[in-house]
Amino acid sequence: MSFLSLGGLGALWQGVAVAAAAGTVGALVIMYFLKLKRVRREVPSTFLWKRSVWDLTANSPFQRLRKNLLLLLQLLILIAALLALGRLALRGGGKTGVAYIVLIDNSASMGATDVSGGRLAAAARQAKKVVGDMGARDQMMVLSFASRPRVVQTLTGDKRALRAAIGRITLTGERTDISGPLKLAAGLARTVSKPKIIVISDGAFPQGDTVAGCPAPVELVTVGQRSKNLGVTAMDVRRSMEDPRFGEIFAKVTNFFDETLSTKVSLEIDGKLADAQDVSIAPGASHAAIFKVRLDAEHTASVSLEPEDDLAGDDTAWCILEPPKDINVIVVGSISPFLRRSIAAGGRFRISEAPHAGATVLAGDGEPVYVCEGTAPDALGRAGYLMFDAVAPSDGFRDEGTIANPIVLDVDDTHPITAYLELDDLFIAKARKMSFPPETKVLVSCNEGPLVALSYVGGARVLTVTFDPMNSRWPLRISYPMFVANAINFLASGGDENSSRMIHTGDVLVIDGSSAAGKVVVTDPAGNRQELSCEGKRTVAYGDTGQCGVYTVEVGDEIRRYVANLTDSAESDITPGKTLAVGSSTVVAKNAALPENREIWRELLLFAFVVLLLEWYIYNRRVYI
Amino acid sequence: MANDASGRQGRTLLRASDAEGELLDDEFLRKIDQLQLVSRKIIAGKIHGERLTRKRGHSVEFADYRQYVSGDDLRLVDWNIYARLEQLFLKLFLEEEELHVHILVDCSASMGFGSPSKLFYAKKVAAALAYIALAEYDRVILGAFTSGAPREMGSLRGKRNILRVLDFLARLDSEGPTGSADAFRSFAVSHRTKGIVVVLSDFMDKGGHEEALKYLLAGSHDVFLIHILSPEELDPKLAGDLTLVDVEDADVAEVTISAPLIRKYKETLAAFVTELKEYCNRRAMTYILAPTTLPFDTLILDYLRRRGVVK
Repeated sequence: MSFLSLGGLGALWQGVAVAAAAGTVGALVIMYFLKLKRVRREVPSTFLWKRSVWDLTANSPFQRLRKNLLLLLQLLILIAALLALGRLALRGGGKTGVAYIVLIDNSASMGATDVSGGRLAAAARQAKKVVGDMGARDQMMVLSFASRPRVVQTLTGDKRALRAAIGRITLTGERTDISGPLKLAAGLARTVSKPKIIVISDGAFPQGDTVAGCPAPVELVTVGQRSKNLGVTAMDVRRSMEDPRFGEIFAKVTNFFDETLSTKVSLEIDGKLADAQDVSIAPGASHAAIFKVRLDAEHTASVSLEPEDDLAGDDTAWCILEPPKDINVIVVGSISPFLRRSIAAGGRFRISEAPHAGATVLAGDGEPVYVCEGTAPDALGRAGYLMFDAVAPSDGFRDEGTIANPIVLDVDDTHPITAYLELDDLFIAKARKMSFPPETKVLVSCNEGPLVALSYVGGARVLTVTFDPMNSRWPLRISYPMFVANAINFLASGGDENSSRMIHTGDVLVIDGSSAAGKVVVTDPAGNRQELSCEGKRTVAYGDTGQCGVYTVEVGDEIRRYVANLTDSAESDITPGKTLAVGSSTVVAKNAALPENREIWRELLLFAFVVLLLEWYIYNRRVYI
Repeated sequence: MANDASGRQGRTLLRASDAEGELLDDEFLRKIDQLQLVSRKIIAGKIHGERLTRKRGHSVEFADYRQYVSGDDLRLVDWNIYARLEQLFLKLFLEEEELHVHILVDCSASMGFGSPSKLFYAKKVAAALAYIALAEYDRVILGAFTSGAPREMGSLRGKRNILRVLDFLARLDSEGPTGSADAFRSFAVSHRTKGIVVVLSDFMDKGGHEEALKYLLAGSHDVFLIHILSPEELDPKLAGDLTLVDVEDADVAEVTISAPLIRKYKETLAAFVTELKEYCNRRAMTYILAPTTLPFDTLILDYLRRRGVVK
């Protein structure tokens, strides 16, 4: 048993209460004897009574107290009430002086309803058990995590504040990234003594980067029971090559359950049902639902499932249907026929030739995109540059040699340019070994360096492919024209990462605010408006994209719509995980429920009340005890 | 003859009742009419009575033979034996004498305790025993004691005096402290004739009872102690924090009633009764415990008969 630590004024109050307890008990004893009013009763003779009392007193210690039954009952009431005021708690195995760092998963998969109240509520219960288990000197920090960690409560021993903080954690529609929160927790653990990290999650996440040298023991507590889920795990809109006014919406529906599940896949455009399919998907399999749509005006489309599963957060995905937009593509120098055909296949590109970059400026919407192959432009301007096997004329771009037979190791499948590109086993005879300026994002890398990199230099967006496609088999693969189309579209959009108007929940929405009058207003799917200042900035970052749905952005007079989708197979796979990789070791989830200190002040008060009733009964009924 | 007498007396007795109720009634009188008090000792009365004694005398009840000695009354010689044996033997007969029956009723304040009170119960027993004695033409001396010399009525003989007995008893009230030692000393001094002494008391005497009883033993009386206790004393129904006040001397005892205390009280009371009983047994006194819950007629007709007080 222990008294709960209240900290600050609470601790002072506890001290005062405990100090007052001894004095109060003593005062009660004294007042009892001073104020005791005995009832007078006549008896034939007192000598038998006196002899009896004498015998009892002589033979029994504490007789003076024992015979005062009512006093003892009053003492019991007082002590019980004082203990209740002191918030006496029964110890359930907690340790003293431990700094708990509790990570609570609030990703989309925690919305699964396979446990009572949902997985997030179950996780909150587990976290509150840890709070109840805290000793008088223990402290706790609470973090929630999904795509990134968020500090919900800084280190404190105030259990009331901790419980309130845990209760404030709400579900997000984001994916889970465990490595970031673990790294943050490990960093925090280095600043406190006797740290202990407790991860409360459903374990439905990729293990991510391991945290080497974690200074604290890590405990994994999992919630969740099964994996009954059917979700939209991928979505895209593709414009028809033949007629840019038409296109297809592609939605990948995956069954993660161990039984076949059926559902209706519905397409709604601007809230009106446009098409529907009934599908039945085998365990672990996926179904590609394809809907043909017109792309001649801007619309908001959504693909919805109606399954009987445990997770609703991944049952709908949204996309923005955009009208075709002409893009000025300037081919610099000579290019290979494959590249030319790929550019021409884009359909809505207005192609012109130029001996060198900047030599020709065409009228049209947006900034032009220069395409070079083997030849670098003279200088970089405010435009997009797609350069194959060329070094951009700017500081930071350096040719450092040649890579023979580079092997593609990593493709950034989250970037609009390289998403859905199949580059596995791509043969490349040789590539340049290049270094890039700091503002560069590597999209495809090989064993010795970048193969495809996106750089921002002033107003220029430079997408560099470090090898000549003609020295590879890439032009013969379908991913080549897709890459060219994606690259030109991306570069023409001003380098907006959200060029497809579609992001994953939790991603940062980068808004071009150059046309805004000092502020950008974002309205999230729930209708909450948020004003963002863009004074002196070209772009504005909006990170509060935890909800799936349509985000409306008002930039000056212009209204843009973006959509955030979960579309993540790792998140939709809600099979409860049982392990967590930390450094070189693996933490196995605890099956048993966490012990909990149980506050018993309510029971003590109830006991005091019962004793009070008993005293009243004895006093009035004169029963014998 | 006896039935007629009892019938007349019974109708009279109905009018001579105590405030708490009738002391005797017709039905009960008929039941006790044939009873008589028994004395285990040779008691010498001053005049002839109707009670046979072990003393040799002149009744018609044969007792024994003895050899003739010079000077004996020749009228008592059994001539038939002389004819057979040619020796002179005297034929002895039992003496019939009157019996002195002293009935002492404790009238201290403690006897007023209980419902019905112990005093009322004592009065009824005293009235019944007096009636039995009067019916046998024993000499009845009735006394009420608290402390000091007992208040007595004169000696009575014959059933016709039962009304006086009842009047005396009806006027008795419980008051004052118990001082049995003084009372019995005065009694012993003023009554030297041997007889039966029946003491009706609760023996709640803080001065002790041993000294008092010694005065009764000194007179060689055949002593019967009838110890009257109320159910409230045998099993007190008390609870809580109490100040117990002694009704005789206003002495107080502060107690908090608990199960151990009640248990101890009962043990103390049992020890008190046992002590008194053993004291009596060692000194050839007869001790009878009579709770007021014991039906009165059961006490007289059954209980006292089995204990040899009456027959």
